[in-house]
Amino acid sequence: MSMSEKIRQNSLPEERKFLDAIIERNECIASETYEMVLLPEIDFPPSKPGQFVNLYLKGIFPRPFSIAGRYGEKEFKILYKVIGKNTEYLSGLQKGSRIKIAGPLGHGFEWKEKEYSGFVLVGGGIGVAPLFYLWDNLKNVEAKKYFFAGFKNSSEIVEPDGLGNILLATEDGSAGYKGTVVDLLEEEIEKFSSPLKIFACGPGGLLKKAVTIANRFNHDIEIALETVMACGMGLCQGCVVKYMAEEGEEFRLVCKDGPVFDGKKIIF
Amino acid sequence: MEKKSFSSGLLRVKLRDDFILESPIMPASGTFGYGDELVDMIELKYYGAIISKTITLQPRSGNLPERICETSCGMLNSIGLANIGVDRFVREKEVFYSNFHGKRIVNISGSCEGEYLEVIKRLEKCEWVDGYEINVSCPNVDRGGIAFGTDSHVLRSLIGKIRNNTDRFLMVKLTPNVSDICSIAVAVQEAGADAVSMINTLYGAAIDVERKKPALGRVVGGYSGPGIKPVAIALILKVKPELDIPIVGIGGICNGEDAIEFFMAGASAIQIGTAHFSNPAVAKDIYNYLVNYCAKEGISSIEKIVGVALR
Repeated sequence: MSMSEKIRQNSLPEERKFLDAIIERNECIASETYEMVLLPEIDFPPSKPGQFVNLYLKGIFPRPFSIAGRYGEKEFKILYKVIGKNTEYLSGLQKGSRIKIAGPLGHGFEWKEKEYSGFVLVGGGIGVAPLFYLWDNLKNVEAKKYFFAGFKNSSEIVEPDGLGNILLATEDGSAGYKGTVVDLLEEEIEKFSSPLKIFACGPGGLLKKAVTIANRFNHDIEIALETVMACGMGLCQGCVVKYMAEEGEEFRLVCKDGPVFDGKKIIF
Repeated sequence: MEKKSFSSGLLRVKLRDDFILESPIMPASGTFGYGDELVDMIELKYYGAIISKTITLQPRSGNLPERICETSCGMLNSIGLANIGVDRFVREKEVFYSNFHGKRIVNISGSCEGEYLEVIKRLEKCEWVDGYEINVSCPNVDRGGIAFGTDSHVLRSLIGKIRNNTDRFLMVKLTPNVSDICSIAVAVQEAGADAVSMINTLYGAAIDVERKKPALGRVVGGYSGPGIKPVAIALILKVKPELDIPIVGIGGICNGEDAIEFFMAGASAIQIGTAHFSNPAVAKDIYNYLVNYCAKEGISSIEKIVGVALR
């Protein structure tokens, strides 16, 4: 089965690889925000939106980045914000540089198009990254699609490719709606026809409020979590999150069981 | 899987007459899941033995987050022996362990002697287990763990009882968090262990300056990674002359040169831990380095350099 067939069938890719990749592009596209296109030396396994890759940079832990888009069987892109030594190092790498990567890792988003009349993507800051990839995959889905993107101010804005309903919020009001992206979601969501599925990624406060909104209007919601990870592949059991399972509260691994979870089962 | 060496015996090491590894490389418990996490990503043939994460009698969910923290020369962990428990381990891992080409070692811990013995009893029924590594050095649990590893009388009693319940290869993982590691190692040998593995993590902590709080939820955890390598080398150099049983070296091994240091200090085999996180294919890199090293030095076996730094 080809990658595109697998994605169309929404089936979970099982193959992962640890390999070298060449940096094809590494450009600053907004304040402290970069887009990097990576070309793995051999075919990169099929992936799903919500899955991530490890980049092996400086120090002990690799750094996990959501896949923000794929171009064919090999290339993919990530978006990142410079927030520490590793991302600063990453931002300085030139086109043609070689880095080690592993992926695709974790479990991605699930969407059954016939079950919903609309899909609502909610991203805050660099949390829009996995949603760009999802947006791309929902391109040919018949249901309504809405992309809520929120940033601190207009200098941080990155927008997804393609057409569709993109609703923008900035906390300082320098572009779009003035307020947080979940404030905007709360105002708009009643106008959309049910049932909806919400996909959210961003800071903890955003996710918590998005889940509250989903609960209030009885919509399904999946959220992509971010934590510190030592391995990104289930070796160390370090990146746990509290999860409400049928048997009661338990820990789940963000790297292996997630990073995408049913938002209503995460205990914030 | 066929059981044959692919290095013509250059890297073959003997830890007991009937316990021979075709490669001296093992994963350190707790850094490689149950052994089967990476089957689709890396080649396991470079490991002479697989070591499970610590298995306890009952399943354990482990400690509250934050459980891990990166430091400048390593990492801190406070996982708390999270594992699926011995019964589920036996049920779910049989197929993988049965098909693994090398030796299969299960790392076990308990909060009292009875728990260690019960876990052994259940694993003795599994033909696919070749040996045990006894964890008496975990710094991250309230009961058991390190409490057994810091008192030579308590440890001697525990290992003696385990020895009476199994003929399989028996290795004891030592903690560096003691004032006299030699007396602990000797007690383990006298109690009938076949090998010691050393060292487990050092006590460590860090402060998250943004939150003004300890970086780990449990405050103090285990420090591992390249920063602890000199400590491990020092303790192996100290213990080696006192012991007749082999030492399996652990502590910050990241590459082939690090591995050579451990052999020269007196280790007969090695375990790779934290380095798996920064390089999942580290075993392959070290394996190839060791094969080339033997060729370059003109030695017929890696065993020829064990303890040379002490001669």
